[in-house]
Amino acid sequence: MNSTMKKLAIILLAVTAFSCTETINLDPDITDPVMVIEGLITNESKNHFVRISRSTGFNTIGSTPTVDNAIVSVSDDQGGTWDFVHNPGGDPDSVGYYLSDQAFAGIVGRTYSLSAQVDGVMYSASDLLTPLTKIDSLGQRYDEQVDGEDEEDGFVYETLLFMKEPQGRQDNYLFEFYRNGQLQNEDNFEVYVADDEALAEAIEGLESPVNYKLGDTARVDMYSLSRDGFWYYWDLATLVQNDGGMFSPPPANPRTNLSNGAVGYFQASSIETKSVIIVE
Amino acid sequence: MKNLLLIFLILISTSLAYSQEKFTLNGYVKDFDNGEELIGVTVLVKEINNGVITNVYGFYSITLPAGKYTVIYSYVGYNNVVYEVELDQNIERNIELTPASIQLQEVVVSDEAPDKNVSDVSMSRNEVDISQVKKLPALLGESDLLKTVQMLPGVVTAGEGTSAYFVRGGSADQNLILIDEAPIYDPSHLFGLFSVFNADAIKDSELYKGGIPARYGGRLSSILDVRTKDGNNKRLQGSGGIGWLASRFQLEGPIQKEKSSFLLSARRSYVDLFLAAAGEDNRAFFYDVNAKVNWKHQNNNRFFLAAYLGRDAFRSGDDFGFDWGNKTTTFRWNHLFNERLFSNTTFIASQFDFGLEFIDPVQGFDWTARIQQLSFKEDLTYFLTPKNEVNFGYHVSWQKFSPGKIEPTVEGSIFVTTDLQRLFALDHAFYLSNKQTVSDRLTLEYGVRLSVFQNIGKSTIFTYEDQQDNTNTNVIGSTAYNSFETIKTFVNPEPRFGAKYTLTPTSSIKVSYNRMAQNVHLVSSGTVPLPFNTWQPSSPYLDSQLADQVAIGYFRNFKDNAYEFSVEAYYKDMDNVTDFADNADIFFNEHLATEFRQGSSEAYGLELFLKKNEGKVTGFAAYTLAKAERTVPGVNLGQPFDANYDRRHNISLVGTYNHSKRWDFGMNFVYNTGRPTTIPSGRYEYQNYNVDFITERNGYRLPDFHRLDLSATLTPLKNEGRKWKTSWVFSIYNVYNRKNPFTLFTEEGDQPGEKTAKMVYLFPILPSVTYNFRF
Repeated sequence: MNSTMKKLAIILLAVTAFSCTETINLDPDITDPVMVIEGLITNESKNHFVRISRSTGFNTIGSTPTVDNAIVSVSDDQGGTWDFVHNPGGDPDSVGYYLSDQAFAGIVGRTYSLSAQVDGVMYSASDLLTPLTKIDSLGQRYDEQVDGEDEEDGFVYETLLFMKEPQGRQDNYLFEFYRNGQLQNEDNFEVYVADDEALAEAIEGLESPVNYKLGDTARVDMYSLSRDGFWYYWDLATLVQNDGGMFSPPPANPRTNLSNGAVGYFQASSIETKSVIIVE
Repeated sequence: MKNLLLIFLILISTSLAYSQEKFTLNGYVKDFDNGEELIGVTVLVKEINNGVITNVYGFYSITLPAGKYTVIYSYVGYNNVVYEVELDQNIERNIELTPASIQLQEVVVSDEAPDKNVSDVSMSRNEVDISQVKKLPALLGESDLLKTVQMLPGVVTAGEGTSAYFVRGGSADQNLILIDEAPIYDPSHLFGLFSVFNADAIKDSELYKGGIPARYGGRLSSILDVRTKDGNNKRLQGSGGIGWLASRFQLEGPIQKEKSSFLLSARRSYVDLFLAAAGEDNRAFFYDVNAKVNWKHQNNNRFFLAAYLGRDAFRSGDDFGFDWGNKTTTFRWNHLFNERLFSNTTFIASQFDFGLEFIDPVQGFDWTARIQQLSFKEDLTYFLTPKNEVNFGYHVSWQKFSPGKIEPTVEGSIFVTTDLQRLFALDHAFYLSNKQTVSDRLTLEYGVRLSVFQNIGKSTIFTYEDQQDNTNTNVIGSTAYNSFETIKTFVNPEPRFGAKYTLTPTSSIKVSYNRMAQNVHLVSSGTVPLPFNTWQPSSPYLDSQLADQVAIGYFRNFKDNAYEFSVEAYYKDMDNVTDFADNADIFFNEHLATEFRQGSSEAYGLELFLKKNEGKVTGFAAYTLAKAERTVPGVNLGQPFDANYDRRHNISLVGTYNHSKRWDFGMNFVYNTGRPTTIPSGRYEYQNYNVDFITERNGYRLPDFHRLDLSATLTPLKNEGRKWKTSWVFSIYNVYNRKNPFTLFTEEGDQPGEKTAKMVYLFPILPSVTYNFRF
């Protein structure tokens, strides 16, 4: 519900029917690039990844520079250690990606630690892999509130999530919604993150923010987050939805678990996924 | 504290003269037409070339040795009254002043004493003439007091279309806004496009920016004291207006002629009717009601009961709705214990609340929050001698803060009822001050306000492993407090001092110092507060905010007070200003203690002000050179940064021109240096997101803001001799269609790996027409 509050700021701007918005040229001072690290360890048995890149100037268009010479490893608090290898498949699209040299499944309750050494500088982070409740089922129904383009294009169905929210512990959730395998997040404007404050136990029929048409495969991926992870995605949402600090807070870099001024997040999560084909 | 009192007593006693028998002349000064008391009328005794000013209730009292005197009552826009008095006993004398017609204004009595701009000790104070506000161009034709306040010297805004204002480097929550002495916690309608003040109902308004009298306190930067009309006690009178956005109607009149009267004023917007007509399922409206009754049977007991009710409501289709509003009630009793001891006893109730409703079969919920206050105030003025006016009093408020409650509105909701802990406070203030005429040239005003603020139960105070850790907040203990049990007490003596030294009959210099303490803190991390922001009392994790301000000024009148000029310089040092950690979660957070970051702030500036009171052209010109900086631990790496509302150069021109009996013209012009904002210095990729990289807080300036508005008021000649009088106000807002920056944000560009910056501009050229009537 906090995201509802956040969106108010955007609505406020729209309230004044007279306002107009124009693209302008911004020429901020050039600053040194910073290290950008994205890593994800889940409870699935697989070769997990870490991606390393650098930031670029605000006005530079195109992919940001990737880092292919880092020394990367991940360990857990029970003595396990895995080395990560840069782009073992040699895929040109996977430059900057480091994969664990063997498949392994993260274990709930363990803390995973990253160390990445780039040009003699060490970046580290650790995250707790937290448990996750099961998605009991994913239903679907005709969404009567759809109008405008979505209605014309036939995107008039939504999915309904059923699960039991554990009341005795703190849970933090990150959702990803896919339509036929394509991630849907309103052009990177939405981050579907929530904690369980004010959540009841019975979650029965929580509607998806994404709409589907007949025949679509709808999929939801649900991740557990540590409190650090929750705040990272929360702050990321605040930043991508920022109105420039008029009503929303001044833009700020998300809180991260990475050391040494690196941005991004090293995440450990349990994952639950369900999909459904939309039928009449 | 003790020392201060001692000094005070010594100062007073040295000025008490022991001489022949003395008598007191006192009474109220009123408007001849409608019986409204006039505030700030100069009552000058020619023989001693000294005098007093009517207080905020229109009362004056002057004690003189027995003898014959000539007393001159003068007030801008009214004809002087000269009263010859043989003072051989105490005399109660109510005076009625007649509004001056244009013709009379041009024949000015030439031996007039300088008005209070030069003669009074008060400085850093501006009055807003509401009758002038009504002739000025207004956004969508809706005359707004706050829009004129925003143009005063020393006052800046974050941009147009907001009701927030920033005084001498203070943030928006450091302004105390009073309507009939009751606090208004959020003055906005339609998210700030308009303010809660209905121009029809207002009698008088003053903004105190520095040298703040000891009877005021509670905020660091300013006091906006707005008083509504009492209602015509001579005849029934109606007025109203029809604008594009809202309509107004007001009825006032005597209950018992010249003894009691009432006023009822209401305003409602009808944007929602247009939306409905356009087939839109959205709703947006606001309304205001001001009501007042008073009994002024005798001079020694007068009673007033005033109420304000205002509300905004929005609803977007079947998705969500929100609403907010203020309710205030003031009961006031003015009592004369004797000719020289004036008492004002006030009971006040004030509430601000907001609600947010989310409509959904499984996610439906209601979110409500409020702040409530009950106050008692006893203010006494003792007109000791013509040279000493002692003010003293006691104020106490009980405050209840309900920061938020979430309740599911549907069966089988995914939410459960969640209620944030309520917080309570008792706020006491004792004050004592004296205005002392030391010599013909020197006047002093000195005093102290003792603020005693208690954070009280019922409440639970948490102990944190690390109170500044807002990521992994770890509560390691808690202490429960019972109802009215003191949790923490904040004692702040606030010395106040002012001095005026007359240089020539038409010029003076003034200096002032004030310390202010603030114990309510707005929980808002944006530049402009939202109606959805809550307040918190000072508590174990939140200290009193403090400000020390010194100001010096030169005041000069020209052409028999037709022009008032002043130049003032100020320096303000603020401690414990409330700010927030980067990424603070301020909505619905039980552990706000971990998000607060209190820092310091420094502001200084120079204000030039020229006001023309009389003649065909009236209005003011103001220039402000200002700087405001903040230093907050953990924000901007602890380095000082320009405050969000730091604007270097500010010019405002406000004028009306009385062309003829038919036509009046009005103009506003404003120029401000662009305000600072935070922009990204780079960008990076995380998952699919193209994320801004932020370095320096407020390191970038938006383009300058400037705008010209014009208006013309047509008063048809056929009004003369008719009971039903009409006028038309034609306004053009933003005459040269300047695209003024409102805010700057970034979004994903059209191509992959592109980020663009977007500037939001609010209002293009906007004409409007308002029809006003009076009977």
